[in-house]
Amino acid sequence: MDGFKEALVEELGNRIAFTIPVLGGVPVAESVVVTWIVMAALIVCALVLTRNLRVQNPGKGQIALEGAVQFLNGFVKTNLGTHWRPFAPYLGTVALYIGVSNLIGIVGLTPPTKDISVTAALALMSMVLIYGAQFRYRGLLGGLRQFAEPMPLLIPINLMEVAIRPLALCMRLFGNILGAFIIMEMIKLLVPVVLPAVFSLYFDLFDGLIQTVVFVFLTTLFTGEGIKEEEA
Amino acid sequence: MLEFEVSTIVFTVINLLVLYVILRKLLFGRVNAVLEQRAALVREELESAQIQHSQAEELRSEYEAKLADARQEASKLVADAQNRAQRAYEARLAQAETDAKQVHSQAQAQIAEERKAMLRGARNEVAALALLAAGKVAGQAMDSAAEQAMVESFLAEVGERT
Repeated sequence: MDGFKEALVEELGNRIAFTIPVLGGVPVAESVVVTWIVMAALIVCALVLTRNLRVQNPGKGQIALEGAVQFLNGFVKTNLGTHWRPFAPYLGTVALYIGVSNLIGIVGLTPPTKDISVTAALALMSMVLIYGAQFRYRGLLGGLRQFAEPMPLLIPINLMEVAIRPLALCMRLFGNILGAFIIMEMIKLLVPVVLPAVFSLYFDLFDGLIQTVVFVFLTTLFTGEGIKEEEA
Repeated sequence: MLEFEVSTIVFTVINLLVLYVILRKLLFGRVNAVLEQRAALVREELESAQIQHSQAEELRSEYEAKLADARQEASKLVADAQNRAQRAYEARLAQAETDAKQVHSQAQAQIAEERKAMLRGARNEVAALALLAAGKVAGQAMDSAAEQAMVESFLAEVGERT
């Protein structure tokens, strides 16, 4: 049991893949390397899928791809209103990245989302997106006034949310993936055959996808709250 | 396990931005461009279909108007012809009727004439016979003009009564 504990703690740490020997050594974590792999995979997939896009008589693959992009566009449009256009590609990128990262454990790599620094970076970007959009489309004054919505009494809470929202996003994603990871390690230790595969369906596939959706959905929702015009 | 590594955060942010730029160009940009092109194509097709439809509608109404005109013309012609035929028929009929009437009245007049002539003849005869008979009864000839006139008037009186 002690051996397992040590192995688990060892697994939970974020390994450093290598160190760039400048400025006294910049450590490059394993999660960053896996992120590069994920990026490469996504870019290759994008290149392959967008070959020979046709306006007329699209193939089956193109129809599926268009359906997915249209779903994303529609979703972002519903939640953000008129200024949806610039946000859809970013939210799509984040969804693809988190989704693939959560699922990459299946091929034996460590999910980058198990590293709290990665989820923190994602949450920071979401924060910049949410409040950046709020000030970008409402102006400085309008953006500030948005903190007094729906009533001035809520100003402290709205201000606290600036920090709470990204923290919650970060911790939710990290905690879920880490929890799933720990449970899977324990199951693998206790029953090495058959059972892990069954649980992996839930913890790796389902939970991974759910967390992707939750992260992107919340980011979109918060951004929409900041910029969506109320329909008169 | 819970320590935030600044270098990892910075790397991840850069990675995400790079991935965003690349995917926006390669994936979303391309797909959205195709979607927009298709939407434009559909819009165009719809518009041209609309135009063609309205043109067809115009032509149709034009033809219909022409057809209605022609139909009216035809019915007018037919009615005219019928009218004329009717008039000609009536004229003929009237002509025939008057002809028949004329013939009839001529015939009647002739018959009346003949009858009158016959009656006159018969009356003369009867008068002569009466005079003759009266002469025989009286033993003298009664052929003076006065007697003749008296018999004549008597006969006329009788003739009127019959």
